[in-house]
Amino acid sequence: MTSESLAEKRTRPGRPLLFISLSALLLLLGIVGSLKWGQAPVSWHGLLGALVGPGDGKTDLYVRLLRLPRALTACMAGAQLALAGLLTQLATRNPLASPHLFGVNAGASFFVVIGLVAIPDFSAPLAVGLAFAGAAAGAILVWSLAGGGRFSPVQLALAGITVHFLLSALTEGMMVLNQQSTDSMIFWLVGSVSQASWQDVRLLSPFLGSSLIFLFALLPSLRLLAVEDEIASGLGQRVAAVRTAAFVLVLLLAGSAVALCGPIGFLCLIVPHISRALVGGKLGALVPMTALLGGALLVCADLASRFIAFPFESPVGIVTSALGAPLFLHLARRRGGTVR
Amino acid sequence: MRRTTALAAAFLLMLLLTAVSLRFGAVAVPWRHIGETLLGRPNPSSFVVDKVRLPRIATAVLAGFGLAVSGVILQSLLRNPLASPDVVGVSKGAGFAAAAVLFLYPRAPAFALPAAAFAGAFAAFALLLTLSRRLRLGPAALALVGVAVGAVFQAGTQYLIVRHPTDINLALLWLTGSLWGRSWSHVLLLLPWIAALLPLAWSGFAKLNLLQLTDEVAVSLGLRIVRERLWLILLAVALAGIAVAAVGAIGFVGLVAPHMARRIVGSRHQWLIPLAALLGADLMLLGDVLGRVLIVPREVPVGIMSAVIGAPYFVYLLRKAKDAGARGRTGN
Amino acid sequence: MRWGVKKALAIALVCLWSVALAACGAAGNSNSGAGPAASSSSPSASAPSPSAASPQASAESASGPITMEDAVGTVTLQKVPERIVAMDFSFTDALATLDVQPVGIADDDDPGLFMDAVKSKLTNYQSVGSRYEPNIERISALQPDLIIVDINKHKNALEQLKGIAPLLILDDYEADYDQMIKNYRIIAKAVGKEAEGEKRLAEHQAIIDEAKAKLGGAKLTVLPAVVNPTGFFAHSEHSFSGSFLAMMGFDDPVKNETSYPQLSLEQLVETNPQALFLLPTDQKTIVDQWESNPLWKQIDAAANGKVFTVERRDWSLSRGLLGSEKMAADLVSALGA
Repeated sequence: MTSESLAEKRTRPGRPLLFISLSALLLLLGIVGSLKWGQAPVSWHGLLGALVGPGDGKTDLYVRLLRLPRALTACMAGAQLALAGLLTQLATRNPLASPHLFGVNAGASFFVVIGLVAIPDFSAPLAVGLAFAGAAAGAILVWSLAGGGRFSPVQLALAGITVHFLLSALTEGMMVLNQQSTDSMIFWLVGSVSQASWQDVRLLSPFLGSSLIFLFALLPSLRLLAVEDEIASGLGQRVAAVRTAAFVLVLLLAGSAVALCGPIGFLCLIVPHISRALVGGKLGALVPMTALLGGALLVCADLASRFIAFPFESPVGIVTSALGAPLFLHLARRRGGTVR
Repeated sequence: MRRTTALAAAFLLMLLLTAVSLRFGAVAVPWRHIGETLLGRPNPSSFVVDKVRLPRIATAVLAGFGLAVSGVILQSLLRNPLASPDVVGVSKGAGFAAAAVLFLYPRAPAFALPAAAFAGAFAAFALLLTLSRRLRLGPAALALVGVAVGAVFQAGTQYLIVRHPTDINLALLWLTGSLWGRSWSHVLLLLPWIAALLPLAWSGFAKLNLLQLTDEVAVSLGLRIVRERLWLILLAVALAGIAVAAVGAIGFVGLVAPHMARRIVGSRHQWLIPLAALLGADLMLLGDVLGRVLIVPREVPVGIMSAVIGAPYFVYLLRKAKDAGARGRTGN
Repeated sequence: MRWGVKKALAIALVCLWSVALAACGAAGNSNSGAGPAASSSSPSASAPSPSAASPQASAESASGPITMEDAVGTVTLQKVPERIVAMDFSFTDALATLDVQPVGIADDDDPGLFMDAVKSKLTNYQSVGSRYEPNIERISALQPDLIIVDINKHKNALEQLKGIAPLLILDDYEADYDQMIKNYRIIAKAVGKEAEGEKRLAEHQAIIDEAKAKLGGAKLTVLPAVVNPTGFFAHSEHSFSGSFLAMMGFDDPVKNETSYPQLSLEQLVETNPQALFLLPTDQKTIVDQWESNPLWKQIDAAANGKVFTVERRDWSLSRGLLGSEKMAADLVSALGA
């Protein structure tokens, strides 16, 4: 926590605003790029025509029915995952923490894989429902194991990693034992927004909206999470309540995003770190920065994912790791004095 | 006294599980045949006992030793209860190298796979060292860099997997960890390494006892932190790397066995290391024998079974610790 | 320092255990190095007399040893194998056309994965489990005299399997149609039915030629694809079904080195196949969603009503003569004039 207070002292008042607007710009550029470039060539003129005109040539349909909902889904999912990561790190005070510690990814994956095996007419909308249920089940399991709102960060981390390993092992077991449908499972497990449609946008937006409102209402109390346990126990009830609220938020944010896009893990871990390094630890700036940067990063990663093995798509989760990890390492090294 | 009892119990359990593993499987083998095979007399079951079950058991035990001890060292050095060969990226590096061999060089001879896995583990380790050197190999830095390195390797593995959907199952079995087809040549690969590295790891117990405290304490007690840490991590990586090379990227044993041991004998490494090793072997053996008898004629890979068995026990330990903690608080 | 002594004792105990295990393994090794060899050589030593009398051997020219080249070298069998274990569906397909009953098959313990034409010919076999990790104990209990394995999938266990029976190691991994025919000839020779094999291949060629004639040389771009709830996996001409289609005279619209590329809807529209053969893994697949998208109708195959659903076990699992003939029949019924 010393790093945070140092960062706050260093931060000049104009700096957060600058970085927030820069990430908004990056997000915008990313969305435009996602509409322009893909497997089929689309000219700038054609792109403009597709956005304003009612035409229904191939190009118009590509832009309106495939690329636009895909870019929007990536943007929303990225913001949600980044915010979920931020909340997890605040609640556990563990730099390794990400929503998968709450059992969200593993729970969702497990339920989806069970669905693929057990339900004969398994369909994509059903997968979303199952994934969300699984994310909730995983989170509740971790929650109850860690002892409700009174958990210590270490206990939560332990409970989370255990549930994660257990559910992942069961998931892998289902896959290994049902080799005929392994392909469909593995492609769900790597995480991708390439199949996103308007239906996904409609499904995801209420989650993002309600979570954002909830989050801003909660913002003043979130600072309690940063307090050391010894001090926090003096505040007792209050801290437990805030942790519970943060937990519900993580579930809403990460659960819905994972349900639609599959587990895109690295984003939750790194975006909060980068944001904190750029705008400091003040939550008022950190929260919007994290959300915007998360959205921008996932949109850009999705764009990049189309060109790794052109003309074929690569899952976006791979790109987020490849882009995010070196950046993350650089930050860790630059702040070498404080990260010990 | 309690510690000796725990060690003896874990050791006896290992012997018991060895016997059970020899007796049960897809094919019925009477005790008499096992005895005859062990005495070197030919009998109808000598192939199954000597060529299939014995090497599997030996591989399981040796790999269990390696994974568990590696986990102990990493958890103490990183002062992070989540640490395991998985977390510092070593298993992921091995996994990536193995997947590359499986997918890109399908005609490579069988020994290429463990060799690549071992090299991959060390490549990940070298990367980890280079990147965290300026951070003086501090625990948080190692954990952070390890997660990042691991993520990059995992992304590479996933990329290979989705680009070659036909061979997913082959790669998946390896990434889960399996003892299928492990023969005496695997045992011979493991034995010299484990036999050399385990005593080395154990002889470092005094340093580990200090290093798991804060840096300040360790320095004031006269430890040259960076050098000691480097040496011990090297040991942990070698142990995990060789185990993973032989049995695949089994994740749970390296995490759960050290925790079980810690709950039983506390965190003094002279006891912790041997008990964790024995528990790791027990976990592997139990996972293997259950995996072999559950859905005959198919097998459940040991990586899955050991997690399915180990996790509930781990959960139980967690709950117990929590209750004890709660009692402690109310007592105060 | 009391613990030091105890610890040293414990460590010594563990080392003792490992050494003992290794030693008895080595001891077992040396004598049962003779063990399986003896058990496998005893049938073959006693083989000449019964096999000379057996009708099987007299019917065949193979009264002497059979020699053939597999993917790694020369295999010599002392007599016609009677207890064969097949480790993949393609080998089973080949054995079924030769009227040879395998005693063990790696069928993932799910007979539903056999195509009907193969299943109807199998009378009495034992499943040896997964195709990727077949149960070695179960195989040894079957006491086979030939095991047909794949060069890639089973390479980790070759050492153990060799101790059970002679191996026929075939290049089945990602085999295309031509490779499959080559493997078929090797298998026919190994089971002592070289002549029957050639006869069956001629019949097969006749069936294929007839199908080609019925298709009337229609020059279409045809794409087979495995579809599941999350993805659409095209089979290019480097895959088995793709190479078969190329042999039948169709064009591969994907034109890529990859055998099984995953396509997005945008890319499928760009690829624009004139006929689509869907191999669903589940009842509902991603195509159900795509069909409601106006872009789906932009694909020639969809616009012209040439989207067909066929069985995956016929097109992509069986990978043998029977599978190919079923594919030819499916093609004729879908596209034939």
